[in-house]
Amino acid sequence: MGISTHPDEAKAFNKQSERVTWHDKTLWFVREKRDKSVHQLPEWETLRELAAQIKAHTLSHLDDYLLQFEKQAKKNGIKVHWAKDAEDHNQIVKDILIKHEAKKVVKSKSMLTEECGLNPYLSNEGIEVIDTDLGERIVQLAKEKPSHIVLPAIHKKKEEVGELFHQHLQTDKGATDPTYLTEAARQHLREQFLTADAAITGVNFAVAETGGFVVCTNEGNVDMGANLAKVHIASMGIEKIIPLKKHLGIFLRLLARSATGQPITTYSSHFHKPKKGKELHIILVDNGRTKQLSKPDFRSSLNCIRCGACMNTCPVYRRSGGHSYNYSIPGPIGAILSPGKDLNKYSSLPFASTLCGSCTDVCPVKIDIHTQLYKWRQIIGDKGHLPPSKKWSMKITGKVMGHPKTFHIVSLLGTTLLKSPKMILNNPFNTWGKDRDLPQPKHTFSHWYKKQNKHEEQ
Amino acid sequence: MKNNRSSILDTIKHTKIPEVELPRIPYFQGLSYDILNYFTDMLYQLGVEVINGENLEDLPPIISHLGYDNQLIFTQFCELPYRKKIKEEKLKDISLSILKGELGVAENGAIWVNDYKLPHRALTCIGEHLIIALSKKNIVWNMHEAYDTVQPENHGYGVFISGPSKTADIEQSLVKGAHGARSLKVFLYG
Amino acid sequence: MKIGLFIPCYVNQLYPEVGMATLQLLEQFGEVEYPTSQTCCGQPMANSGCEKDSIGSIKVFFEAFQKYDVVVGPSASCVLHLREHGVKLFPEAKEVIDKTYDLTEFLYDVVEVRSLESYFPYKVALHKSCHGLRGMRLGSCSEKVERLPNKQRQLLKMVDGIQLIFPSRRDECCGFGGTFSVTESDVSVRMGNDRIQDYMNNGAEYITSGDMSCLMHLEGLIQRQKLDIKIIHLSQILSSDIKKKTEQKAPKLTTHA
Repeated sequence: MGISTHPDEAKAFNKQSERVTWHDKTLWFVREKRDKSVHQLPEWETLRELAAQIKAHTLSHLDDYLLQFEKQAKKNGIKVHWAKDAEDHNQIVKDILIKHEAKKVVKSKSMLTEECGLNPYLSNEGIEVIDTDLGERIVQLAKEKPSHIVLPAIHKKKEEVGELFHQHLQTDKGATDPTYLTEAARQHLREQFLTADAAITGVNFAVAETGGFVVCTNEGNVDMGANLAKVHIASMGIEKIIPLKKHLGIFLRLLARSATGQPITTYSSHFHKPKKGKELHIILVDNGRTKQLSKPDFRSSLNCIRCGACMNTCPVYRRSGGHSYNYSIPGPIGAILSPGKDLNKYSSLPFASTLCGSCTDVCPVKIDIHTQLYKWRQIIGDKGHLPPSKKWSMKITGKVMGHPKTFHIVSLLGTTLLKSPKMILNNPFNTWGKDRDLPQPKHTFSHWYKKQNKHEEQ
Repeated sequence: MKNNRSSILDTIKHTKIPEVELPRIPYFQGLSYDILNYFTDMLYQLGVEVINGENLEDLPPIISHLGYDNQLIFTQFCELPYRKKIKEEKLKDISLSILKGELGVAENGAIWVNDYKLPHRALTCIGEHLIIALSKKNIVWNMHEAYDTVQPENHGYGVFISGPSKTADIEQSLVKGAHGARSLKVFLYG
Repeated sequence: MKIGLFIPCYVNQLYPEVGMATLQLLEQFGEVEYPTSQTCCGQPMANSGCEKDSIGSIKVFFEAFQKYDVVVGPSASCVLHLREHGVKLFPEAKEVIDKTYDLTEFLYDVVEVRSLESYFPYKVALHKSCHGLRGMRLGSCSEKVERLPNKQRQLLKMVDGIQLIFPSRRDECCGFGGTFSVTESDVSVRMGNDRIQDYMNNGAEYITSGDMSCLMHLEGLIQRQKLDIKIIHLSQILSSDIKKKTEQKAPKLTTHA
């Protein structure tokens, strides 16, 4: 009780039909750009396979690679921290900031800090966090959460952004031109970059061989933030590690093409050493990843490079919106990561899919997302997290289908029932019949077949 | 939080995961024989203006022509007549940065820039406009070849730049000049 | 060849004409029998998170179809379910499941039909069911960089008079998804309506598919809104007018043996 489910949230989202149309079209546009871009590369499927193998290999030696990374990074002068969970992570960040008497922090996009709830934590400590990715700044000003991992404000219309900027950044009332609004954000955020005491970034790839890491952006906010501030803290999930520098070639070719259809992001920034007189910290975060690693059926979900392609392609995500998932990572990948965190709370997410398989085919690191959705459903069923009505109807259906005689009696009843007036079928409790009719055949196929055969035998 | 480290590593160590071999990366051929043409086409698609020249000496008149004469210009090239050292508080006033491109990648228009002779790392992004000068000889086909050549581990900081800073976070409308350079020109010489 | 006719439970109940069309098509290739003890592939239970409740139906399937050379059903979804999960749930059924085919696979791959004598003079859009497309790879999907023959389209191209219509989104899901259509009905309905609009906008008179479940969902929406478009199963198009023609001359179907 009290847990909002995906169907509830999706229902609310679908009350605004035109908004659904718009949301769906906007994301489909991104998916089409992705298609156009990947179909130009004859080796696309080979790259996916290589990426999946590199990730699988890395996960089978994760401890070794983390140690190698730590050793190299320390040699480079980077300070390495380890966090078991969100709380550890947040505390490590806080301690570094307090040591440097930092009052204002600029942060570039990091789904991990979102997962750890870093912003509210730091603001409780009196430290101001400014999200610098434009989309994230928009949702931050609106006091919302990102609805997409690559396009955090994809649910917002330019009119809403205009109003928000009018309130917070003093843009003209009613102004909605994206160029004008982006310029206002540029001016506002330049000021923040120049006056921030520290910068927090995410990590796209960390290389064990070199002890460095790569962060990808289009806006350049990582480079502005990390390069101007005295302290740079990079937070990464332990699964972000890759063994060799040359593997970056594979992943950078896959990432942006999958995410937005660009051949590469505008900035692919490589950090290996702190600038003289400055500090560079890396926090290696577990927060449930080792738990997921221990589950063979769900291990490959740790391959994820956070491109967002599964969201753009998912026909359910496009028509229910990222907030309907109520998890820091929405969409199909979120629906296989979240049950590992809290099976009961997120038990409706693996069912927010038709199992169409588009997510699996679009995934640049070949995570079998829809198979994992199916597997989570079984675990949710086994552990008793299904709604009772579903559980019992499936038990009964199973029994009926397992006994041909019962089945035929029930199926005769079924066709009789369908002949009754539509009124019965279309009652408010019948979700199928609310918007859909069912055919009303005169007889079943088996009935016809038996009659036919008798006729022939005679 | 020292015990975090051993606890995470121990948990991983005790998780039995079947060995998966590291794959060999095959050689990936380019999509065109004319690598320079492909590269410039790609830059054009990314909203980058390409300027062709013989050598670096061709640059100053072009920059004058572009109207930067009385503005603050930074460069990484000692042979160019612009500022090579800039105080931190002056960074924000830079109108134009001229950086040295080490390597261009034809498949995606990305150019490798690093912090060698870069007094401040923010110089890759803080100037209002950016010119990257790249020798025509230093263009490779794809990212695999690029990583065979560039050595990010030898530099504290380096970045592949593939265009002006941009965003599409407001209704997917592409806008140039988010936080970094508003425009990028690539000067191809040699 | 002794062919066991596998008719999915909902087709049996709601779309007997699809069963008849499939039977009629299959009769060209062997002796077809419909074992009346069959029930269901078990997918509804399994996709709802209760796959263990479906073991009984897989057992029934195994017993009903053991004796045939091949088993053919007009549903990629049900056949795919048996392949992906049936063997794991009831290993004895492997031998039977291995010889079970969706109608498209049977026609295109097993008996290699390359021409038909059917006639269907309408504008038809092929709705690619996700289980057929991405599960069985009956064609190449838009996400992957691959070129596979689009088997259903190849079959439809053999039909006289047909005009194939292409939607703007060539392989988006219709939103049926089994119990998804009920538990997530708002999104499901929306997805279905979007597909129908796409087919209508491109001038289709009929939507066809190898999976009746997608069509049942779409038809439900079409009828409720009284839209000017119809649904028809692939088997019905492929067998249309055969009867009339075959009364005059044989053979009805030619194959590359």
